[in-house]
Amino acid sequence: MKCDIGSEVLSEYVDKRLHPEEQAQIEFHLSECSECREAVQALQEAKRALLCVPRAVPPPIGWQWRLQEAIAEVQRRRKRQRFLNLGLAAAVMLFLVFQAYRVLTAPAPPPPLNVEVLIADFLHAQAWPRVPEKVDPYSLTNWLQHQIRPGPGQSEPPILPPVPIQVGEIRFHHAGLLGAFKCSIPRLVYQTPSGRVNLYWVPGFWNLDHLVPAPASGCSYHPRLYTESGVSLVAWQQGSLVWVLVGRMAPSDLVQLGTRLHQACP
Amino acid sequence: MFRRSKEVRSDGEFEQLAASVAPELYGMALRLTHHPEDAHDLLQTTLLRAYEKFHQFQLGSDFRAWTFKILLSIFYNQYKKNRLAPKTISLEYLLSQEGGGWEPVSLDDSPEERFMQEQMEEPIEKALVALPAEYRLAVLLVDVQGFSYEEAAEILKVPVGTVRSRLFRGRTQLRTLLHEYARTRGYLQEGESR
Repeated sequence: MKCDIGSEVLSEYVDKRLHPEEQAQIEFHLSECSECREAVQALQEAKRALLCVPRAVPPPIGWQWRLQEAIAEVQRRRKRQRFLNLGLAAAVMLFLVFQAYRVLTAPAPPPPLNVEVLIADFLHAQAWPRVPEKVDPYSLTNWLQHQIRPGPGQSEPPILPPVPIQVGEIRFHHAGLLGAFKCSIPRLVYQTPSGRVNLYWVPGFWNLDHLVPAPASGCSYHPRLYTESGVSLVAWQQGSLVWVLVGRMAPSDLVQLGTRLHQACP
Repeated sequence: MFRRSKEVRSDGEFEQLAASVAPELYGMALRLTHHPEDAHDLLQTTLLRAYEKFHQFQLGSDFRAWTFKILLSIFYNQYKKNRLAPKTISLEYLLSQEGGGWEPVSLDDSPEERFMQEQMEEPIEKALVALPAEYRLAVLLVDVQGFSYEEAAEILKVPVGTVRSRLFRGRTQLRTLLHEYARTRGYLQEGESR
């Protein structure tokens, strides 16, 4: 378009959207400009042609029923959502109330644990059978004889000969609450009329039923049954437990006993 | 008619408003999808969305313009991704087809199908289909549906100046297409403007 009238303005002119003064200006311009006149004519033709295009078309039969069904579903969904929201709010409220109750009724927190003190108290509370000051095969046997109690299914403890036929040890590594240490379990073998009796100082255990002999190594304790509280003395005869020495020994006492036995029975 | 007052909104009120705008929405949906079933789906989706958002509807605004805006939004977001997007077909292509016109494929003879067939036989409808989509929408909203430039701009989410420009180009092209159609059918002689 060569004239300075914007083409879009002609659209507005055709739609009578312009200010009356502008409308008059355009009309005056059209009387002089054939190009704009043709453009306006084209726009008016198009507008007239579009008049025969139907503005509304009746929707298919049943459209309202289908819409009502969809709306009913939306309402049901909203109802469910409201119910869920209510339940969720109630659950949150209950949780908060429960937490508040817990906080308000909770006992005062215990003082921090001092592990070392607890262990020391525990060990001192044990009535350890004291190892004789002088350890030799005779005095040890005498001491053991006094410590022996009948084992499961036993009525009387055996009478130990004065001297063991064998003094040995089983080496082991112990790792527990007291720390890791290397130790050897003393082992005494006595020949009694009913057979050989093996005496082991086994790392402490609480459940004798689980103490099973391990034939391959000759070790009669189960590593799983170690405890950190001490060492128990058990006696074995021909692969089965026959006596239990009451009480437990502290690991340090066990080391001391082993050392003394080695010194006495090289 | 569609101006809302400040009374409490109810489902009955919505249904009344929906019924008043449904024919126009359906007509627009038909021109967008060119298929009665798709148009019906578009109408249902539009009115259902309007129902769900009815509480957001601003008091004093035009329900009709609001639903048209929803319709176009759904169409472009959802339907355009599928096969329902309107295709711009050149008039030359349409005229080159056997019989000189476009016969919409129809598998049944529902009233809506027949309406579409009859409507699409009209030169103006063919010319509308041949228009570029953005021009066609501007022309449909302003010249067919009777929206103002401002309302059309709001519905199309474009500035008013863009509507004005698209309208001018759309109308001009429409007139050219109609003339070409008339000329090919022998209603106009070569070189004759009308």
